[in-house]
Amino acid sequence: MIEYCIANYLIEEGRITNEQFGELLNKQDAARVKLGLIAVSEGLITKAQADEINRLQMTRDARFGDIAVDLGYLREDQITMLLRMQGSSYHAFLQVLTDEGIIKLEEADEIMKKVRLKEGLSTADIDAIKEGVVERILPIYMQDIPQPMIDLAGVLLRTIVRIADRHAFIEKAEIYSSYELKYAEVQEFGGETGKFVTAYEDVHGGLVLLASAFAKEAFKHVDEDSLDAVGEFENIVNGLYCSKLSKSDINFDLEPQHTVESGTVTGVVCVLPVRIRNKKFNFIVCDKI
Amino acid sequence: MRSVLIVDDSRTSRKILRTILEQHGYNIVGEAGDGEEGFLMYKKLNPDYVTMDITMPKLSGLECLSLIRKENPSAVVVMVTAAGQKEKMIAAIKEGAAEFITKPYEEKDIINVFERLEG
Repeated sequence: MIEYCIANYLIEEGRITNEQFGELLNKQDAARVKLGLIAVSEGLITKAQADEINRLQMTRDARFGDIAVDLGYLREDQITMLLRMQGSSYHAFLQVLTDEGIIKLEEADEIMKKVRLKEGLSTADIDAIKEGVVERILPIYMQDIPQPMIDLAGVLLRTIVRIADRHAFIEKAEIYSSYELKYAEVQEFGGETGKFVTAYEDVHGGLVLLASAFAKEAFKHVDEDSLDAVGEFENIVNGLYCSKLSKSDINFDLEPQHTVESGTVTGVVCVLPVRIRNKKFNFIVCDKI
Repeated sequence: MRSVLIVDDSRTSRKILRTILEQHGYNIVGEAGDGEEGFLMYKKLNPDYVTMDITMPKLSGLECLSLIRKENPSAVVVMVTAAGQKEKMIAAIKEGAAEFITKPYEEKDIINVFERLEG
């Protein structure tokens, strides 16, 4: 998720293109994050110390962490923490950026400061995004949005991360009283206590990516088949949300999903841009009551 | 080899379910995209099992289940539903549904359901 914030900055600075960002994410998925990189980026050791350990590793049959402890640069508990962070997507993305020569490791801290200022985020916000905790990320990008819509967006984002793209992220949500849909997959659901309409609308190829990842088919265009896959995904997300509501004895029924080539939704309409790889789609949720 | 008719308005959903069932030795004898087509195909093909999506346009899964069970009170119909559709599931049980599968599909759960039917 933090990859998007960093990439937005690098794209604006002209250091990568949007297409390159997509390729970097592919490489990130295959990259193994080095412990030394994490230790330097966390300010635990200097780059010079990491280089020294790397040189010693070439001549000794020992792990990075063991040498770092022998030299007194790191403690055992710090090694444990670093090993846990090795699974972090933030560090994996940094690894790819440095491996590809796009940034130097020494720049990472300064870049994150600029990312934070550019995105208008606090240090706590950045930490939440780095850790990928959806519940802490949603309020940052969905300010002044009704809570049920935030909850539904949470189910969407977690489901995309689980089923379709572990890098998926969101942009700032906006509220409208009326919104014109263009070629979207729509579903209504509700009951006595409320009614919602959701729509997945393509913006920049995001729906094709979502459909392809979910159905495990290589769709090329937004068409009947790819929208069918999107509709099925939407049905699953809305069903999971209804399942959460049913635990509080709120029973909502799902209607069949359908394609809308053009149409208007009115009410309290939240439009949330969702990033998948280097593409985007809009998640729209409308409260009809 | 046991025969299965898949009824679901989503081509994607039919494809995923077909793949799982075929991998486990079931013969998919037909696919229908709505309840009306599903009932007609049931009468024509007389499959051992039917998987029936609950939420469909034209004729719903519940309505189609009712027609099939009137046609053949021994018909074995497995209802397929997104999560959180408790009331529809209760209605389906009353109409004689044999089992349930919840989306998103989990291969293990699907095969457990069919093994219970076989058993």
